[in-house]
Amino acid sequence: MVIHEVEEEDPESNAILPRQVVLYCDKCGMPPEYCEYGPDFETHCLPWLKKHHPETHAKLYGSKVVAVKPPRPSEPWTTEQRLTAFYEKYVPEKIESIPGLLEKYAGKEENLFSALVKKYGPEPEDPFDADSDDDDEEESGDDEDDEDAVVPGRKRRGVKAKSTETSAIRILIQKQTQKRKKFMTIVHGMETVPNVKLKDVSKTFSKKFAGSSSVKDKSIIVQGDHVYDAAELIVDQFQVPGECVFLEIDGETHPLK
Amino acid sequence: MFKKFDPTTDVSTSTQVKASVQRALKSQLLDKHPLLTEDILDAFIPKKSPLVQYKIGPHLMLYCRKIDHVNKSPTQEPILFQHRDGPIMPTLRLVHQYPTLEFTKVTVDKGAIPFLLGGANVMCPGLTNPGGEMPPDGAEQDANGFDKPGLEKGDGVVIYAEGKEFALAIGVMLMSSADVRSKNKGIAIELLHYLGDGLFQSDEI
Repeated sequence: MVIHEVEEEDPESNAILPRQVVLYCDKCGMPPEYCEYGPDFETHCLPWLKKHHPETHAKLYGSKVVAVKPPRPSEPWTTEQRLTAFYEKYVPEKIESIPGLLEKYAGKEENLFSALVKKYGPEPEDPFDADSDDDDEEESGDDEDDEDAVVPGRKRRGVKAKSTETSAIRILIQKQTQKRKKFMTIVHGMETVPNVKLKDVSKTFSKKFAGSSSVKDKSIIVQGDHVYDAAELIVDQFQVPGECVFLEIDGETHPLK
Repeated sequence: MFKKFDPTTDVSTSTQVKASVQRALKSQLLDKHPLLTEDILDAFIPKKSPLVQYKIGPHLMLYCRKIDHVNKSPTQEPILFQHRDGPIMPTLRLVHQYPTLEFTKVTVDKGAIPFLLGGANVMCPGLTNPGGEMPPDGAEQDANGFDKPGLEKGDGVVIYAEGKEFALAIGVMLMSSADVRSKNKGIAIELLHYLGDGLFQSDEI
């Protein structure tokens, strides 16, 4: 790995102890050479590495052909597909008889399959059901155990790919909760904005509006009436797209124009 | 140890480390890792801004250095940790950042990698099989006639994997290196910190 020396205040310490910026996989957070041990290697890590860091990719996997898992289908198999997979596994010669079978057993598919299983053996697994891990919102250590139970073959430990947050950023700015003629501006939903700490947001607000600001239960409360100003600030400073911000004034919710 | 570590909830108090304590930390590191010198240590342990100590539970300390950012408030980056009175160990991120830092290290066989990535301890065969490496025991002497130290029980080590460039984990020896070679059975190293665990993923607090 090439050592890129980081700009330090004193270059002297850099000479004694060179420091490098390390490349970590964007998906699983480990150095790329360890990605192959993670459960999402072929689906997330490998394509990412190939696209963004082709030199490292070539160095690690240049000559090797990595078997890529076929992409997960978006729906479970239809009866026809199930039958085809079944016959492919046990008796390929009978595949042509499938249409006839389907007609005969229309509405009684389960009977058909239980008979087949009795005759030939267990039904082949639907890849739709195999790794159903992409649907959870947050990664947690516990998921790894479930993963391993379902996916047959080599047990993959290591870090699961971070689920990229495509969950919508939604901010609701509620305002004018009147308290004895004084107004309060409440901002909900800042936690859906990535890379932003609530405390920092609160500090920015209090600086801009010269009023006290606090964080309560994931909402930010600012003293004073700053509906539109707060909205502008959020869009500018925190790079939140305008469509995600909603203003609630006197019970009516408007999107920010 | 850091398998489930969440910097937002698990970290309790933060105190600035006294100069005397900081000196003690440095001297312990110099003692246990003979290839480190004071100059090298000073290069990554900041002199100007004091180290901050976070407590995780009653017996686990995390020593952090301050990092300034452009558009957010400064954060703390964990660089060292210590469990009870055990050895002071660097975090994996630190070891990755300074590849020339020579902490006491061992190398494990490639087959052990998936297990270590799940947080399992290192078994003797991982070190004694081809591919594994350990410092030689006290029976040998190097060119100057000094005993090459083996590893003692309780020593902290950085664990590398056969064929990989970056460190894989940090652990503490449960058996001396001589015992590992002779008995070749049982747990050799207890894993404290590994690639992808909670501490590794929280690079700033």
